[in-house]
Amino acid sequence: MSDPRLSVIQERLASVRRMVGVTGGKGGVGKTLLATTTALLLAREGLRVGLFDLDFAGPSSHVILGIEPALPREERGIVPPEVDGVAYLSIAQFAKGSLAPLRGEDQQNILLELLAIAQWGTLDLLVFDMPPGLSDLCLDAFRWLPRTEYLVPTTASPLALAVAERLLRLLKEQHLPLLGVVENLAWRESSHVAQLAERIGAPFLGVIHWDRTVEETLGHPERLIATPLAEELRKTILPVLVSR
Amino acid sequence: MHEWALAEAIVRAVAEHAAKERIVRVRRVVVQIGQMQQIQPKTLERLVQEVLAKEYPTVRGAEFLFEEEPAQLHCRRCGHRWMLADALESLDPDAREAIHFLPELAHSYLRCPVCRSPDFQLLSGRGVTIATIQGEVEQ
Repeated sequence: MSDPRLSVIQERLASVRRMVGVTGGKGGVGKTLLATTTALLLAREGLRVGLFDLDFAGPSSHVILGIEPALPREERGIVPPEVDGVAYLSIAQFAKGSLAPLRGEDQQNILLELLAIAQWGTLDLLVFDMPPGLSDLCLDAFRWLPRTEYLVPTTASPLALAVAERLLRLLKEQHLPLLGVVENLAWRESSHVAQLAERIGAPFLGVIHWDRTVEETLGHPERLIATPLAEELRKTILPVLVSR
Repeated sequence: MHEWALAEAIVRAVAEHAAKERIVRVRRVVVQIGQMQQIQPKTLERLVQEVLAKEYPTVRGAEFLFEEEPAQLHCRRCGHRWMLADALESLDPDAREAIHFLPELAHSYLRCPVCRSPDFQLLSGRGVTIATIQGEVEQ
């Protein structure tokens, strides 16, 4: 018995120049908002960008984008629809409002299926919004998406830092490309995240402050990219994604 | 249609296997199609031939057999085992289509018939797998 899907994954991503996984270990550190806003900003820089929401257990990027999820168009597979200039794929497009809890093996199958059937075409950059935790899905991404470069947002809270450190050490140990660490949702001066990055030997990209205006822009990408949050992302994260 | 991507995956997997096992001409391939994914064997067969028409000379001319594999489920909560049979027929078209793309979404629409749990395991009959590849090996 063999699984034919494994034979086409690399082919489907052959015309994607760079892949970036936004992963932070702990839930609630702002991964989805950071990944989605970054994808929107990159599209406005003139890059061909994709966003793949890998949080199959709790997808939410469609809420940020303000779309009513609908099945993608079929053409030699499925074609991720363009949302505000970003080729977009999420399990929400298939499950709509009724997504049951999924075990790790089911999430693994969903990842394989979508990697096998999604026709991303030519992209400069494909952003993966990774799920929280060092779960099966992270290990699957390491295995099947080996070209992925990782961007690690974390808050300065000790609760998030401990998990981020485990993740960073794992990325280092596995020799996976690490773009850098970002302090996210900052609300007071702290050097904990910068110190963590230094300890691990990872680039520290900067601080993104908690932005009280963002909540009201969810569902409105045009307003979201005009927030102070977007401005900070332009300064901290975009340079490492656009320059190479 | 999205089955084209799966047809291409089948052909590439067969070609890769042939190259690895030094098969110069593939004669017979048996593909199992899980009931849960609701793919028509005739559709997949047509698309496999469409993919083969352009590339893969070692696989071209092989006989492809498509077998439907019944879906068997096992409830993790109460231990009940059951066959999917025609349970999909009772679902609305949107639910069936979602499961057609991603069989794991069955958890969103089906329940264990005994305890109503969504925590069941698909023991067999999920999607497309290659059961057998036969051919002539290089001498």
